[in-house]
Amino acid sequence: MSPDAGGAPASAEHDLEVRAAWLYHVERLTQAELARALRVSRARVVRLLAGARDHGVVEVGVDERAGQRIALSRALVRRFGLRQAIVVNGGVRDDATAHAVGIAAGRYLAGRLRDGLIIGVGWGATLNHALAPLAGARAARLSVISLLGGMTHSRAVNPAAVARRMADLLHADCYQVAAPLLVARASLRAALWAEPALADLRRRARRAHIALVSVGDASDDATLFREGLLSRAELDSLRAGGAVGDVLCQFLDARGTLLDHPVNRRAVTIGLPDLRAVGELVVASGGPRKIGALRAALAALPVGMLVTDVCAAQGLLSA
Amino acid sequence: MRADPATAMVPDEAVVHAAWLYHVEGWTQARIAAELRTTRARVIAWLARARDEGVVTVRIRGRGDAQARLGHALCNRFGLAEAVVVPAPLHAAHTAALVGHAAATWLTDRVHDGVALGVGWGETLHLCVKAIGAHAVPGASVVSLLGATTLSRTVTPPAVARRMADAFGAECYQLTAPLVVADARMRDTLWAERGLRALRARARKIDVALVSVGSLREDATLFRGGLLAPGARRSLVAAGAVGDVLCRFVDAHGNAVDHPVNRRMMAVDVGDLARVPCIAIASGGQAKVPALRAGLRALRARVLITDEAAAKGLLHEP
Repeated sequence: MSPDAGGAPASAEHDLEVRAAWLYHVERLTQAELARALRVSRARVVRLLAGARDHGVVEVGVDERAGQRIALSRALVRRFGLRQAIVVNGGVRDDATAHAVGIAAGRYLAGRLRDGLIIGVGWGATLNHALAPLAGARAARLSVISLLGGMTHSRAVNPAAVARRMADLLHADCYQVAAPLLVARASLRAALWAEPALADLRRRARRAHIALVSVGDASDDATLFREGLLSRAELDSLRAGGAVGDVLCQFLDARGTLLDHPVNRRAVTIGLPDLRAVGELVVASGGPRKIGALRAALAALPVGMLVTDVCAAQGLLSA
Repeated sequence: MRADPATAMVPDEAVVHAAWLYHVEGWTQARIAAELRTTRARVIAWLARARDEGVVTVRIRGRGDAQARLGHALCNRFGLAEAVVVPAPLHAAHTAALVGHAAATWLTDRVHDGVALGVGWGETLHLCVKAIGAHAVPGASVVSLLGATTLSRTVTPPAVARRMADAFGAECYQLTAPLVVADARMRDTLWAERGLRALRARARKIDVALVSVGSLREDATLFRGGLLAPGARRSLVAAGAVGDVLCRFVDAHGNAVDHPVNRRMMAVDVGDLARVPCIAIASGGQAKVPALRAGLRALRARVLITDEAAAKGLLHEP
């Protein structure tokens, strides 16, 4: 235990690890400052800190459930060929899950902002929650494009409102699909898309650097049904046709195939082929109801980033 | 980004993710930046937030040889069950951070389900609470041993007790009276109040007390905050005081000095803690040595958490 020059080198090394641990973890020195304070090289500092951790000098605890979420996100990336996935703790209720997933998606988008970015955006409760983290985010010459038509009357989350509010928060130009979300006939939809203003919007949407969308399910709780955009008969016939959910009002079956159904032909939205053209596709949805729709969307689209919750992640990985 | 309270309550998964990769898996900052497709500067900012927001908790368990020997010597000299000595900080101003950090590790190792904890105040305990992070202890309670100040700062007694209780998910009992009152009559009138009598009875039954001691320097918390007039400091020194323990000014032997200030403080009395099984003092720095020596005697403390400078000062014959 003698501290003199004849002392065991192992003990001297241990003392140095302890000293480095206090300076780094409590006095909050950077690694460069630590190298100067201890008069050792930067590489030696890295080894000392790693040694302190390996030898139990320092114990670092991170929220123990974080490990599970990170394992799920890695498994999602592998299974679905994503570039990245974020898995958050969902809530007991769907609205709490939408809140948690939406905020994570908004934070991700805030981190991706750069000057001149073109952002395409869908709608729904989750994306509505994605707006809050964008307050205060700054970049120049941003554009926000709504990827689907509007509603003349809305009780909750008007699709157009998500794009409009996002553009306001980001001081961005806002481009809206100036047409109803659902029109009476497919021929009318084709005529609308032929209008120069809408054709221009559609070209713009295909050039989006990033698109943020959520998925809808085909249950009686689906927003499209509750908002009265789909009738009971339409919902039943979609389900009978094998629909498990939708992306931008385009209903998919369990394998991610676009259903041959009148509703899909009447929806004035940026279609799935257009969506495949955008630079980065971000899908944000969570909760048990969305698992089937998420699986279909992942099969149908080249999703880069998936933002979801633990429950949906486990569901996606279990099959 | 901080404006929306609903957002602030949801932990940022990127911060958690970065902290996990860095601290648990030992990745470099550059590799984390590549994995999360961001810049190294942002990763560094996330790692700092992880520390500040309690996502990450650090416990330093290793003891240097010099600190271990000082600890043994302190135990022998002062009859302590345990002495924790932290190394000298690079900057003297960080002493409270180091001692507070060591106190957090000591405390989280000892709290158990249903523990009743009494706490004092000051910079060291404030930084102790910060280092605890979130550490749920079912059925725990925290009792403030000191009255309140009208100007609430992070170091004042109600704030320390409140945040300590939050860290443990504990019930919090406050001594809801001014820390400094006009005179002894006012003090006695207040202690006669039923709620305050109950608090005092509760304080007598705590399992663990964690307090710090105050010096008589001008920058001591009691004087710096203007709670006591500068003149009081000089007359306390003249009366033989070397520092305060639970806002009671004591001489070198740990006995209360005969001074009006000692009759004006709303604080649980040192005598009230006579049956508390574990009293720990957490204070460091050369300037606290006389107060520490007096405090160890006055409280018959079993545990001391301090730094090298104070440890050496305490072991040096007075």
